[in-house]
Amino acid sequence: MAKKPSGQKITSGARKTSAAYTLEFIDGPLLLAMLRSACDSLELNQDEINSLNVFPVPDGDTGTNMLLTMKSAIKECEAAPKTATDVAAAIAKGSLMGARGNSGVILSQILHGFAAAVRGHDKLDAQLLSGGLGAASKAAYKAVSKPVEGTMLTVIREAGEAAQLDTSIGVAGVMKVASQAAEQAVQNTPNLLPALKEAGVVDSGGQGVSVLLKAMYRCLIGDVTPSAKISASKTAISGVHITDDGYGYCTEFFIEGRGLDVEGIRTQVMALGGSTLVAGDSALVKVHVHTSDPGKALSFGVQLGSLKGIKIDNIDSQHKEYIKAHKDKHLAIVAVVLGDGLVEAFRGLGVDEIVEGGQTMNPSADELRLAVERCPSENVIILPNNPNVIMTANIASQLSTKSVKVVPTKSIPQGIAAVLAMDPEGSIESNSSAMADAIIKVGTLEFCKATKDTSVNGMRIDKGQLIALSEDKIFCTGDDFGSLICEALHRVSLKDGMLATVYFGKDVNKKSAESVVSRIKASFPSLEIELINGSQPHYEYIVSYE
Amino acid sequence: MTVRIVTDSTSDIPPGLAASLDIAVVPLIVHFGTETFKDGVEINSEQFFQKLQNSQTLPRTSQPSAGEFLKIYNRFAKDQIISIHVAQKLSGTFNSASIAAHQADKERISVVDSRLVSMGLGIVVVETAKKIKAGMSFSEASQYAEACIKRVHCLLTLDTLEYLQKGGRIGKAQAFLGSTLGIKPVLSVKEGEVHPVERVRTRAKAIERVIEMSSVIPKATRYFVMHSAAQNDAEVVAKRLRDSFPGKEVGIGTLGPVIGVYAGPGAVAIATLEAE
Repeated sequence: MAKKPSGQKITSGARKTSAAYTLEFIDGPLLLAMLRSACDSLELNQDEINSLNVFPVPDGDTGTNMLLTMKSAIKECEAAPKTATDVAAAIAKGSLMGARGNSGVILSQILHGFAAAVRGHDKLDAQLLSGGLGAASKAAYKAVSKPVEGTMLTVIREAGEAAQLDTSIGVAGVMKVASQAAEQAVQNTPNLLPALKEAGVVDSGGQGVSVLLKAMYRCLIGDVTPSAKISASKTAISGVHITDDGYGYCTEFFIEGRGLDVEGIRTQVMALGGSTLVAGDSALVKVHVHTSDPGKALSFGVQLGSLKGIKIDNIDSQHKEYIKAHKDKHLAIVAVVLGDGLVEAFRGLGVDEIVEGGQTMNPSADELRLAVERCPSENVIILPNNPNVIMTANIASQLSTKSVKVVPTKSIPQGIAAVLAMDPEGSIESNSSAMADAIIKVGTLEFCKATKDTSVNGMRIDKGQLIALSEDKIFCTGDDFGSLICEALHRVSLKDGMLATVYFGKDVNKKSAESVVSRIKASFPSLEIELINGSQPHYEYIVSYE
Repeated sequence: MTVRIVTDSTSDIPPGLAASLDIAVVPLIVHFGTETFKDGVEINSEQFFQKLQNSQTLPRTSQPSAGEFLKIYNRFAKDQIISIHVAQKLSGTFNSASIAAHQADKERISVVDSRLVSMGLGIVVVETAKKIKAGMSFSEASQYAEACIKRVHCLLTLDTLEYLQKGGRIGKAQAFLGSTLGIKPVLSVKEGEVHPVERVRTRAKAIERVIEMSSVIPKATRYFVMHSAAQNDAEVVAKRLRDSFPGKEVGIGTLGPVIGVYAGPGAVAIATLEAE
């Protein structure tokens, strides 16, 4: 609660007294309240921020990533720290471990920079607050190897600069100008980044920062908006992914029934534990979950149909045996993979730990760190397989005490090329270098349906239209996957005797995939083709060529 | 007193060359069900791979008995013998030879574990035999053989790891098993075992990598391209090496039946000898 120096309380609600504008300090509890309020506001605006994503691919998760990162940060403060410096430090630590996606990582660095600047101070005056915001901005830029203006970097920078102009206006004044500068910077982002202008949106990460600063300001002046009602599914998602440590019992079974709702089952199962894999159709669903109470999972399943192929293994003892058998394993690999078939492909190649990731559910730095710890080796290589997970992986490698290197794979095919290039007897250095060489030699094309109407790269795209992506750029569209894939392959420089691997996703049935392969064979007679059931979500087809 | 060279049939030395250098080759046995064949004597590569194609059961191999070695060692009772054999980790042949040498007269017989197989072993045997023909003494030649072993490199690719695995010789290449994706292995033979080097997606890439890696071996003087039922591939590889290294010797040979049991058809290997 904000306090006037005389001890009079300012109540929450819309009432703002003029005294609020002469508030001199932000103490620990107030800072925590401001950050909680920021987190709530982020939650309220999560969907809106997600929808700002320029790309119409199932990747609208900036809002979710920043929210989850923030939640992880707040959770770290639950040990009731007293002073401003305590709160700041806890927030910084929690957000670092829970950082997800690039936007989450940059947010964690913003909080980190802020915390470092206010270290040692029980409460913050206007000077410290403005210095903190300035430091936050510097830390954000440092985190990114190639800073781009028109992103959340610009927004925090302008907020920090505004905050430092005049500290005589008090903490509330500083917060106000920072928040206003942020809002203006967000509106200006389309003028700095052409892609934003073309899509007709502002930058999503920038909007997230603006939402945070605004909420902090409003909390400071006692204008606290009641939090939004949180829906059950959102709770389930955030609950699992922050606390999952992957131990307990590996529980697997098939539910045979009628009219089974795979999505609904998945949501329920995700609330039971971690490392959840639910796949299938209305008649048969495979459930896989790591849970401390396998009985619960089985009781749940048995209500929906008859259970088959039940397997329950104690992960802890499995793990200990695995460690024993692989005690002298020289080098281990952690890969971020989503999709039953793809997971199997990576496991078949000897990858030690798989972390679920993919475009909408980016793993946190701590989840990756835990996977590294589980590896039966002191030397670990992380393969993010997604550009939005690379920064998180870098944080995880710093958090871990093991010798960890990140090979910056940006797609599943790059990840596979990296695993194949591994020399089990080589050093971590020579391997990460060999892997980096190998990933250049494979090309990746991704195919999916546009999730919204948009305009990108001078192309008008309608929701539901099929799009082809290469190196994260949309480069052609089409009406059916067969012709779209052929068109895309025509545009990349294929040579005789190359190998194309077609991974089909969970929304594609085998026959369709096979007919797509026939189409490709007809257009490219000298191309060797391998068809793999990846059962990945979001991308109906992933095609690699090498 | 002459110095004799003895080896076993896994050395895959072309019979004419072995004869001209007076190398005695003790055959291993190839089993197809109940049928047995002396390797290189009662069955050759072509016959072996034909039979393999038509056979329902997987063939097995067994080492020559100590008695076989004793016979040879006693035949050369008046001579010193250097008996160079396939890696101990891959075959009990070395054991049989050692037991026999002990029985015969271990002072005059030096049994060497080459830690190699096929032409890798063959190179060491042939080079040592040449030195002996040129007048090297027993002890010098024994040392020479040991040193030569260190100068040999073996890189290969197999069409499938199945034969190696079912034959129990997969060694460290075990790490390459289990893939659901189509992969071709690039392997080496080192310290008497098969080692995994790299996995690639296509046979063409695998052969390419075997050539690339062999080509960067420093001070290489000689290359031997060995294959099993892959004559065309071997010729392409040999031509590539000849074009890249015009001054160096490049030979082609076939993998013998015993090696064929573990490699399967479609293997392509390069054994490289470094200069002294």
